[in-house]
Amino acid sequence: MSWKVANPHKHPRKIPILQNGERTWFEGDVYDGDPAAWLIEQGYIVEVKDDGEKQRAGG
Amino acid sequence: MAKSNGLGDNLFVHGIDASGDVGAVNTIAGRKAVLDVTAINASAVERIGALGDGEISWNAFWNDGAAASRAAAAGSTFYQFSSLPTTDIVVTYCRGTTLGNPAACLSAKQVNYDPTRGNDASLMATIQALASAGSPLDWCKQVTAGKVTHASATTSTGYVDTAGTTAGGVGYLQYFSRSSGTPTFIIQHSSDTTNGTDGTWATLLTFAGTGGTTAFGERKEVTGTVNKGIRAQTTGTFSNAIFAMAFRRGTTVDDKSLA
Repeated sequence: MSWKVANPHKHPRKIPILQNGERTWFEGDVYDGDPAAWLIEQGYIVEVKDDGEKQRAGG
Repeated sequence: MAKSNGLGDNLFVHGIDASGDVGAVNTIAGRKAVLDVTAINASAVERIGALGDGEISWNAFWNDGAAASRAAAAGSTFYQFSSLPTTDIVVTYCRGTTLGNPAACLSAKQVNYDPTRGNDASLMATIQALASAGSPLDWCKQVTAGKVTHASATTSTGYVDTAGTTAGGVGYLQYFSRSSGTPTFIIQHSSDTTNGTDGTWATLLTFAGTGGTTAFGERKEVTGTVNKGIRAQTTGTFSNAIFAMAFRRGTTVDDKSLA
């Protein structure tokens, strides 16, 4: 299962959405950190479908 | 929590650190009007809540720096206060300058600037700021330890409450200055931090104002879930941004729901 970063609060494009230590992720980035339940529930990361469907982050 | 005094407090007025020119904060008021709805069959007064209100007022020492001609000058609270801006200002009173300490914040109109020259040669001005943006006084927590400097884009250590909440919140920013560049100011939250630094953090609130040559204050609301950890972040290319942030969690009894 893979994840992409979304932007539930509609921040401007240049704003980093997630951070862990020195790592930051922007909207649309592949999220390779720990997919904690709260990140999924609050819409910060969305699952990328295995069938190749392009799921637009935050769309 | 222990009882405390007001030693080491700060007062920020729309991006001006007035702490050194303020002798007393006379009023920090969150008010709620009530409407009398006493019915003829009632045996005592019945009231319902109405409009909220807020006020912060203070006494300022005279400090005109190099600004007697009203040209802007650093360090002159006279310039800021006597200009009586018609636009809203943001006022932040910091109870001490420790991370997580209370801060009273208000988006307001400054309604007067009244200097008095006493016969003892004292020269003081009373200044009153009244709520004006449709929002009451907010008692927040300091997201930064008073006024802080970020040399470049970074994060500050945050505070960790006992649990997250689901009724949104209100953030306040006081931007003072920077040496160069354009900093952007963000509040992050985290559900899994244990110390205000570790764990994964998500951007909760981005202030609209970015740092330039003009100091400013801003109030901004956010809806929905607010996790237990709250901290300040700056982003962009800049040097030496000086700012202060505060945040209040929304509650179920707020007049305006931010759930």
